[in-house]
Amino acid sequence: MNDVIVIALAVGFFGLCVAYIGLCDRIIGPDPIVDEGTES
Amino acid sequence: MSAAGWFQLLGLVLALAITVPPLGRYLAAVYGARDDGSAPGDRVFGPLERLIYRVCRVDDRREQRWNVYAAALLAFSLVSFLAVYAMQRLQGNLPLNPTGMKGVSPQGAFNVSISFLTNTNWQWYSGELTMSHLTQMLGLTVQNFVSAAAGFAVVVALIRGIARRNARTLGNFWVDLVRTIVRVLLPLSILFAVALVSQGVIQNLHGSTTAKPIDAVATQQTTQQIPGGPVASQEAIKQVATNGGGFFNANSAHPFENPNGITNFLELWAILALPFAMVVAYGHLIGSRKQARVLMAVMAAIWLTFSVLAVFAEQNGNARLDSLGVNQSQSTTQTGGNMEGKDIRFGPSACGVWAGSTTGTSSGSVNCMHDSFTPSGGLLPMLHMMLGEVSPGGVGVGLMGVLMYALLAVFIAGLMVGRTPEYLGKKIQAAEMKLVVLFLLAMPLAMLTFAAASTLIGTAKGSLQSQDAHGLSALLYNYASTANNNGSAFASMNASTDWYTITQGFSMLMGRFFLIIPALAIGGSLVRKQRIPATAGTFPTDTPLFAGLLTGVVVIIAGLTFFPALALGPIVEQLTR
Repeated sequence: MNDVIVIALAVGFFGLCVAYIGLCDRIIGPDPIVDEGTES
Repeated sequence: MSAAGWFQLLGLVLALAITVPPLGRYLAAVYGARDDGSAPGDRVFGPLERLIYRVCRVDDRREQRWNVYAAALLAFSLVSFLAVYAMQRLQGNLPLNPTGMKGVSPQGAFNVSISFLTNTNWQWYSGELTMSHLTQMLGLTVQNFVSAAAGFAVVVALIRGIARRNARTLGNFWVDLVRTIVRVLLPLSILFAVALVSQGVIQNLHGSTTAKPIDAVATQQTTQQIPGGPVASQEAIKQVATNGGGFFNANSAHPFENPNGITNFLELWAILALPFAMVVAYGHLIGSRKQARVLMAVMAAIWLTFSVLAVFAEQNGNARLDSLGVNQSQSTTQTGGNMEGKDIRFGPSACGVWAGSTTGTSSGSVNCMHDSFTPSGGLLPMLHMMLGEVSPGGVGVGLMGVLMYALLAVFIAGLMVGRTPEYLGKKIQAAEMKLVVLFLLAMPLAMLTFAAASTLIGTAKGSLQSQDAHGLSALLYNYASTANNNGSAFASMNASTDWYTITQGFSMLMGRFFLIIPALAIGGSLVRKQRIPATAGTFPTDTPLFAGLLTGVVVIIAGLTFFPALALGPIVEQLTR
């Protein structure tokens, strides 16, 4: 049981990190060149 | 400080001054500084790398944007965690276990797996009493290589973000990882392991050997267990890659890991060489050695200051021992100073320089007991870690840290003169500054939150040997160590309880990934920008003035963040001793 708990804790942290990547990506904002390409 | 101590320190500085520039040029070539993409040793290393790419199905020509690069690092780290965790839990049923080690507890294995994948190497356990040879070699030593290589990969990606213009990608994580291991860490470690074996560091696959002590009557101990194991191979990468996790509990104070003054000198060089060389490589990769020299000067000045001050603090001796009539003066027959917790082979000089060097890098390696330092002597390595380990820092991540401080310094300079700050021709705008702030807040969050909680929880407080200023110093030191991915310890607390193994595990994870992710994001933001030409209003970042500003920023940020906590711990201890 303890194995499941500690592995879940670690996997949960890495999941949080994926969300953190998303947050940082939002801070940077959209890529201007990609946006221009989409508009054209 | 003794003449021998000064001689050793000057010898170390000289050895670094001679070896770091060529090592830095080599690193720069490995990471693509040459126009044609070639690097020394292509004939030897190229086929091996291509074989690894083919087996792992890596397209080495395909580059990644920052978020894909970060996701690859996370995926690799999660797989590393699961592999090392399983190996520890199952080691009782696996081969190469001559001393019959049982599986490590789930909480303990959780802590160790995180410790080694984050390049921290915090050890709540005695290696010789807990880990099988297979776990040491295939689990921990492999992580020593790959976690360090991941650190290199991250800073190389950040440098590409600074150096490239109007681009989208930061390189390929898998390529950077493989090239670092194959071309840098493996060759250096093999050479260094041979040098260590020549000086008496052991390398075998034996279990313990039973010996009869020659002073059996005096010690009332009829037999003694002499441990064996593949020590030199682990010791080499432990120092070269600023890991710090020892094969033995006594770490580099153990004569099988660090037998004499020559190995002590060589190991100190190994701890510092790659972090400083990476700064030289940075100068080549961005095409401006003057910029790199400024960073190098700041890092070296802080490292030397903390190392020398630690020696002086320990050489002054322990006031409590003075009151007991103990002779702590330096003479021809003794090194003098505070010798509690120190090996007479090393004394206060070698111990102080070692403490200054390992806490300025992310190496948790120790050659004496930091808990036995005088209060001011203990404050110095603790504060040195709290600066964020940028002097010169761990392999790769140390340069990453100082670059974050450099961005903050140009932002502050920009505020002073009312201009949009620039660094190497790239405008530093709101997005980058938000990410720098996230970076700078992560380590204090990973340290102070858990340390504060530990002072409020009864069972956590009960693990401290003394519930006074020294107890708080131990608590602060240990969370500073985990949050900075250092790994050294103040030993006056029991860190093997469930509370500490789990919270320190999270402290290490936060101290690693909550810094790397915003740093890579900054690389991803900068790589898209054009370079603007320098004008009369541009604040130059290759001058002594900028070096002074950068040093001030590093010291003031740490002072504002940690002074209240330090005042209640080592500072009170020093004033009331």
